[in-house]
Amino acid sequence: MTGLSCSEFVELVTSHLEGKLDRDTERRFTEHLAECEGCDLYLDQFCLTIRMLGELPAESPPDDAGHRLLSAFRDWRGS
Amino acid sequence: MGRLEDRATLKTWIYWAPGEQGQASRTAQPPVITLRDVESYNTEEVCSVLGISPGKQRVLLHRARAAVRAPLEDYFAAASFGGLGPVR
Repeated sequence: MTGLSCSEFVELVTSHLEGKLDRDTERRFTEHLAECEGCDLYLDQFCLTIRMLGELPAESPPDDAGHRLLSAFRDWRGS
Repeated sequence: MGRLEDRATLKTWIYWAPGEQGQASRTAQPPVITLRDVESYNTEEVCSVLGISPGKQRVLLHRARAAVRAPLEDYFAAASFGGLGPVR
């Protein structure tokens, strides 16, 4: 099995983070990461981006509103 | 990304993330990235709410994350990762 290219690597980042890569692809992902500084940096930036998204200032509704919203979306889809 | 206006800009990028924004405006559904990364819903909840498969959800999420990261590249390059804490 050949190694991953950088363009293949960047497409797999979310699947890697979600643990959805099969064993062989995960191994090739890790191998590429170890030998490619650019992709290592890309993964760092990707993870930072996700972390920042989670730290956005809350304009969020109160806790129970989330569940009411989910119900509302489900009802809306069902109508 | 310490200043409030920077965070507001980031939020604007999220809502305009290519691929997702178009779909969201057509269907009046919230973007996957907002539900997953901002509101912290899990994959199962997002798929249930939006009526999409986990695979489709992952594709939309990845595309949106990549689109949000791209304009932040310069910011990341200028910032010291050490000051931002552990990354992974």
